[in-house]
Amino acid sequence: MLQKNARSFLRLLKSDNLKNMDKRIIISVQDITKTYDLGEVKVKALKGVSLDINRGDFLCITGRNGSGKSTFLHQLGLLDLPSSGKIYLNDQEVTNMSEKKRSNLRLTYLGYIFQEYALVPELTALENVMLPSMMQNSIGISREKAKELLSKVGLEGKENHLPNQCSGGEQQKIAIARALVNDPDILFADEPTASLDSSVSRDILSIFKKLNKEDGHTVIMITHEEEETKYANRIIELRDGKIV
Amino acid sequence: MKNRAKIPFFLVSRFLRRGNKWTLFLIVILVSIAFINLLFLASLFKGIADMSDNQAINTYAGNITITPSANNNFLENISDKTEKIRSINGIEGVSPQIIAPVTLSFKNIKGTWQTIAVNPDTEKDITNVSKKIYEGSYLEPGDMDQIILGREVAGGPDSSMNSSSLKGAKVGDKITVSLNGISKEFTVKGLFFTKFMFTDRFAFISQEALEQFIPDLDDKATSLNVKIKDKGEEDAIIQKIKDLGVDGQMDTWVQNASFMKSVTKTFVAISAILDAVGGLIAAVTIFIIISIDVSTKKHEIGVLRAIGIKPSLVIFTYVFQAAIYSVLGIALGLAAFTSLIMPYYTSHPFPLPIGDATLVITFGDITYKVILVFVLAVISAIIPSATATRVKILDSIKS
Repeated sequence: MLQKNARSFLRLLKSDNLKNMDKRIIISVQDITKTYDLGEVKVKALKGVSLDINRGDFLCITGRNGSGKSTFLHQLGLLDLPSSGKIYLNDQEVTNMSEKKRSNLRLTYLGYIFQEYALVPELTALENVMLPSMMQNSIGISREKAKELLSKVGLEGKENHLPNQCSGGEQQKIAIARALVNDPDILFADEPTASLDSSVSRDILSIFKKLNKEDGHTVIMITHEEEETKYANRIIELRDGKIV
Repeated sequence: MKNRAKIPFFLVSRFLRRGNKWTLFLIVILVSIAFINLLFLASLFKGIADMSDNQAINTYAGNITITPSANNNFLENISDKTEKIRSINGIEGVSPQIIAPVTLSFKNIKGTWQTIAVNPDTEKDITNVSKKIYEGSYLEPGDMDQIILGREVAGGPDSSMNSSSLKGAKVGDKITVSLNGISKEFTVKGLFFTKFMFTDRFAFISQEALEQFIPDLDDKATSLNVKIKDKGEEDAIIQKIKDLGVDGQMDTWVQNASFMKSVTKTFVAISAILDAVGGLIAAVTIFIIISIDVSTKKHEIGVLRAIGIKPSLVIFTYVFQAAIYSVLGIALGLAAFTSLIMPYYTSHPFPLPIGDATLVITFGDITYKVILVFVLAVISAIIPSATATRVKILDSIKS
């Protein structure tokens, strides 16, 4: 029943009605706040952030450490819930959804790339990438898709390597391929080049640019590096939990 | 749904193949030790209870004892009765006994001990006294002036009731046997020790020897002892004996040696308590090792959830992994128990004051313990993995 509901929701997200929307807003954030309760201390990480992100945007989120960038991205990527406010994906409110429905959205509609890759250490590059696809497809289809994506990010021949047998850049590419395997509409990347050297970083950013320009993925990326913002068509800066 | 169901199998096969082999080894070893502990305690007490029962049957009077009806001192027509009983399917042996309160005198010691006149040949089918001779030899048919003594009759430094014994009678010693106003000198032919206190307080002579004291014993006995093949079938056999027209009072070994049954009941009660304690220890052990293992996978659980794997599948993955651990632990434990531990204790039984106990386990007991360990492992995985799927994804990934 839950699966059926999630499928209906996804159909709605990709329906023609939505395509007819004027501005084609893919994410709408309305006055969200996030407060962390650390016992006696309450930390306000987000203080009423509102933002509309259009389909096809390459949005860079910048700001100093502690400005609330990652917290903001976690809310958009459905990895966390805001303390107040609402988030809409294709006009559907997601902040009041059950964890199961949000889990289905993360699987099929969103792709998330972590700063520290977050790969499953016991799975090879190929298996890490095919895992999300296996939730919807047969092992054979998932394997083919995974191989194709690994090739696309330049990891042909590394399919059977375990994460600890790969460099940081290679691991990040595996994470990108994994995020892409279910053909998500939106890609989230949390400082994807923070642990990488500059040449590998450029390589990774080129992949994002290509995914945005050629494949039409909406990319939302956090970065510290001003240099990297040149890949984006839109930049926002967070300071003290607010967009400035 | 079909696609999703394969995720746990896919993940667990990789976790087991590529995970830390030492962790896998230690978990399987600990589960197997917990399982062996459960089997060992249960089988030890079952072994003691069985030994206690078997001692009553094998050293005392077999499974069924037929004694004269009220107002009769002897069973008559023993040959006829024996023949009829032997015709019943499931009978291992039938042997008559005549119990006489005989006075034995050795040096300056004199006392009355139950002395049993037996047919040495058929008696071997009922009791194992002939196999428990530790000095000298067993009786032969036609032994007229030979006697064998239980250790508690003969006495000596190893006897636990030396003060009320002959205080050190040995093979070859001469003993005066008195009954019915007649006294005769017998030679101690053998000494036996069954570890069954009641039997070790007996002396045995042949039926022919007893006829020197009580004439006209031909085809008579004070009891007819019956040994059957399958313990537990006593009542059915008694009914068949009655159906063949054999008269007399018929009692099972349980009624004959009710004191031994109470010993068995005590052991069964202790076993139940230790079984519960063992179960609790196994539960705690398995819970700790499995839950620690799952707790160390919080990061992995967070990653799986972040990429959209449903919490129920994440939980099932770790439950399935724990189930594999338990199956491997059970298999290892069972193999070690049946191929090493049980054979060792069969050849080196536990020497207890009432007999030598080996390990005895039933298929039902094993099945129960297997299910118990399996269920414990599954529950031990459900709790931490379900808890981990309720933790915030980001906290999970950071851990």
